[in-house]
Amino acid sequence: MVNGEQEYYPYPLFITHSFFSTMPVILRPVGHLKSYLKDQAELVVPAGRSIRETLRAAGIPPEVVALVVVNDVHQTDKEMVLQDGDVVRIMAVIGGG
Amino acid sequence: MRLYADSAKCSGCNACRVACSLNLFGETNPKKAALIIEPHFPEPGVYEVKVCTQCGECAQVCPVECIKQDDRGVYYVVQEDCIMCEACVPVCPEGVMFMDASLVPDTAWECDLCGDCVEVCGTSALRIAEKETA
Amino acid sequence: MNGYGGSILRVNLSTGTITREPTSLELARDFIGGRGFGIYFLTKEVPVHADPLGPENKLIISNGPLSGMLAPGGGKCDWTCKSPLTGGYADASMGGHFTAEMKYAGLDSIILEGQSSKPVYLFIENAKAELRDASSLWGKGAIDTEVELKQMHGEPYQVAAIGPGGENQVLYACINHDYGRQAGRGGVGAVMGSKKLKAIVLHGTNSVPVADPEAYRKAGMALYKACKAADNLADWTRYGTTIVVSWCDEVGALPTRNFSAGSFEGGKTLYGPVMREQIVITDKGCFGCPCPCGKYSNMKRYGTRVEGPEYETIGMLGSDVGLSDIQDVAQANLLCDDLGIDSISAGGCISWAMEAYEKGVLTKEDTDGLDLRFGNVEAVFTAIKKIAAREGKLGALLSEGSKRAAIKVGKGTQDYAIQIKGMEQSAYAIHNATAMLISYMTCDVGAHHNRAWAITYDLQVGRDKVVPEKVARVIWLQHFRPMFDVLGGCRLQWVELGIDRDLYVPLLEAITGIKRTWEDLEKTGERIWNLTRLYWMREIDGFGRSWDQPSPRFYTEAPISGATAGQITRLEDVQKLLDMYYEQRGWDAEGHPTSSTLEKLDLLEFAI
Repeated sequence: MVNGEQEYYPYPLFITHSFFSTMPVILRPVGHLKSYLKDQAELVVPAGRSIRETLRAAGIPPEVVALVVVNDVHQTDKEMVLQDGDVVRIMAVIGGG
Repeated sequence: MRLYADSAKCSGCNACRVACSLNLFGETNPKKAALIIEPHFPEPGVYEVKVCTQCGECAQVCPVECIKQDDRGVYYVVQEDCIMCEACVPVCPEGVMFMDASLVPDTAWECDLCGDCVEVCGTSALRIAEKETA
Repeated sequence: MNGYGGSILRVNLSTGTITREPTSLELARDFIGGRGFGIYFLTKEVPVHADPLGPENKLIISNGPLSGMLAPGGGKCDWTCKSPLTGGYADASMGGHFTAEMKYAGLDSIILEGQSSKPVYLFIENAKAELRDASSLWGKGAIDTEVELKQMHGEPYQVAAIGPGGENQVLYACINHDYGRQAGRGGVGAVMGSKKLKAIVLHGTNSVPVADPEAYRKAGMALYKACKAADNLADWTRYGTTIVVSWCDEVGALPTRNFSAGSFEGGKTLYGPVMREQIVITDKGCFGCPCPCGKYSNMKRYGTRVEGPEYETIGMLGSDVGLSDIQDVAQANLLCDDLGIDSISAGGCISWAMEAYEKGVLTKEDTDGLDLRFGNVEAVFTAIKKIAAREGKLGALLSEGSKRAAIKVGKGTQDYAIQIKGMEQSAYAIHNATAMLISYMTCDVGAHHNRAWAITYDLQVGRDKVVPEKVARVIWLQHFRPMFDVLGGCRLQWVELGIDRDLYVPLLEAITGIKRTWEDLEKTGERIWNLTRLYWMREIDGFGRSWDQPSPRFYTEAPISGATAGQITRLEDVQKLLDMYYEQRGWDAEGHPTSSTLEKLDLLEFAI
C-alpha cells in the first residue's frame, strides 16, 4: 500500500464482516492421512475448538498427526484454538525415516 | 522461450541431467547433459546451476551453420552436420555448449529446450518461460 | 547387462592386486543388488569366525538396478561387512552421488579384501583402478580429506573417506561422503580403517544400458510426476526428517537422557521449524531425489557448516544427551562426521556414560576430569573427540561401544546400555510402542530403525497391544523396506510422499528386463532376511533368543515424565512378541530358521 493511500475494499464492511464471522475452518489432510476422510479432499469444520478436538471430531486420532500447518505456519501445539477462516494442513509420518 | 534456473532452490540431485541425457542421446548418463550443476561445498554451501539462455552466440560462430533455430526460436544442434570444430564451445557465456569426443564422438551438443529437466525437478528450481527482454 | 554396471571390482589391499569380473546373471536374478549382493558375498567369501578387523573380513560396496537411473532416489549404495561392533552382520546404506558414479564406472560391487601395510586410497576412473599413496591424508578429518581429493582430481570425482575414527578403528566408525552423507552404522568405517584404506575416489562416464528404453523413460517420468504431485512434497522437503522431532516429543518417542523418557522439556528448541529458521541454508539432495531430506546448515556461533542435523542425530546428540540448542547439536554432528564416527552410536555411548556419571558409577577419574553431566555441551564435544582418537580412559572405554563398556564397568550399568546385539539403539524411545519394540529387537544389524518403523502403526492399533497383526506388520516391513537397499534406491519417496509402490514395477522391468511384482520382491526380501539371520548364527556360538532382547530399561523403568510417564511394556509381553515373531517367520523357539523354512525359501545350501 502506497503511503497515505487507502486500501480498496470491494464490499461494504458489514458484508465482509458477517461473511468472515461464519467462515468455518478447512481441514486438509495430505499424504497417508487422506485415508481417514475416505474420498473427501478436505473437511469443513467449525472454528473455536482446539486442533486436538477438531481432529478427534473428524475421526482422525490426534496423536498420529505429526505435522500441523495452520495458514502456512507450522504449529507444534495441538491445544491451539482454531479461528474462523483457518486453513489447516495435516500430515502423518508412516515411514519414520 | 528459454530455460531459467533458480540456483537457490537446487538441491544438487542431478535428476535434470539424467533426463537431459535421455532426451539428447537416449542414454542414461548425466555427463552427456546440456546443463551444469556446480556444487560449492563445504563452503559456502550452495549449488550453482548453469543453463542455456538461448543467446545464439554458438549459432553465430558455427562455420557450417549446424546450430539452427526451431519454430519456437530455440537453438539446437543438427548432429549429422557438426564437424566438431569446437568454435561454439568457448563463445558460450554460460559454459553450456559441450563437445567431448571421448563421450560423444561425432557432435557437439546443447540444450534443445525439451523441458524434461523441468518435469523431474522436485524443488522447482527450473522453469521454461518467455525470454525476458533486458 | 541391462540396468547394471556389469562388473565387480575386487581389490586386494594386502597384495595390491585389482581385478574385474563380470557380474553374474544368476546373482543379479536371485539377489538383485545392494544388500542382496552384500550378504551373498559375505556369506560365500568371508571365512567363518573371521576377525572383523583382520584381513579376512571384506567390505562390500554395492549399488542396485535403480542406482544412477531415471528413478527418484536412485542414489543409495550399501556397505556390507562383518561388524566389529556386533560381531554379526552389518550393512550401512549411504546416500549422495557415489552409487550413481559407481554404475557409470561400470561397477555393481566393489569388494575390498586384505589389509594394506601403509595408508592408501583407491582411485577408480572407468576401467582404470589403482591404489595410491595416502600417507599425507592419514590423520586428517573426513571433510578435509574430501576437499583435498576433489582439489586434486576435480569436483566431478566422488569421494568416500574415513576420518581419524576409522583410522583408529573405533568400533562404530563411519564412512563420509559428499560432505555429510554417511555409511554410518555397524563400524563399516573401522573395517575400512583396518585395511588402511583412507578413501575411494570415483569417476565414471559410461552410459547404462536398459532393456526397454521407451518403457523406461515413461515409467521413470511417471514416478517423478507422482512425487511432484504429492501434496506433502513441500512440507516434507522443507523439514526433511526433522519434521518428526516435535511429534516424537509429543508422543513420547524422543529419546531423552539415555532413553529414561520419551519427551524432553528442552525439546521445543530442537523442533524442525526452529532449525529451518535458525540454521538451514540450503536443501541438499542425494542423486536423483525429488524430495531432498538433506538440510545444509550454518552454525553462526561456531563459524561452521554441516549437512544436518537430521532426526536421528537430533535425538541422539540432542535430547538423549540433554542438549537443547540446535546449533550445539549441529556442531556435535559436524564433529562426528569429520572425525568419522556414527552420530547415533556416539550419542548412545555418551548418554550411557552420562547416566553412569550422574549415578556416581563413573567418576572424574574415569572421564579424564570431564564433568559428564547431561546437558554439558563442552563435555559432549570433548567426549566425541576422545572417542575418535581413542584418547584417555574415556575415549578407550567408549570407543568400544556401550555394550562392551557396560560389561567392563559393571555395577548395573548394563541395564541402561541402550543397545541390542551390541548396536546402540537409534532415536526412537519404545517404552510403550510394542510394534516398534519387536522391530528393534529383531532388526538384522542391531537396534536400528530402518528395516521396520512402526510407531504410527502402534498409535493406530493401540500402543500397548500385543497382537499378531503388529508382528505381521513388522515382518512385512522387514521384507519390503530394505528392498530399497537391495534396489540401490531410497524408500522415502514411498514412505513419506506415499506414492504408489506399484509404479516401481514397470520401471524395474524396463531397466532390467526381468519382470518382478512386489510379491516377488518381498520374497527376495524374506530370503535375504533369513540369510542375514543364518550369518549371525554362523558367526556367534549360542546366537539365539537372548540376542533379541531389548534393553531392560523398556520393561523395568517407566519414565517419570513426558508423554509416556508411568508407561512400560511388561517382560512377559516382550517374550510373547518374540514368540509370535518366531512363529510367523517359521523359526524355532531360539529364533533359528527351521529346515522347512529354509527349504521353502530355497536356502538349504546356506543352512548352518
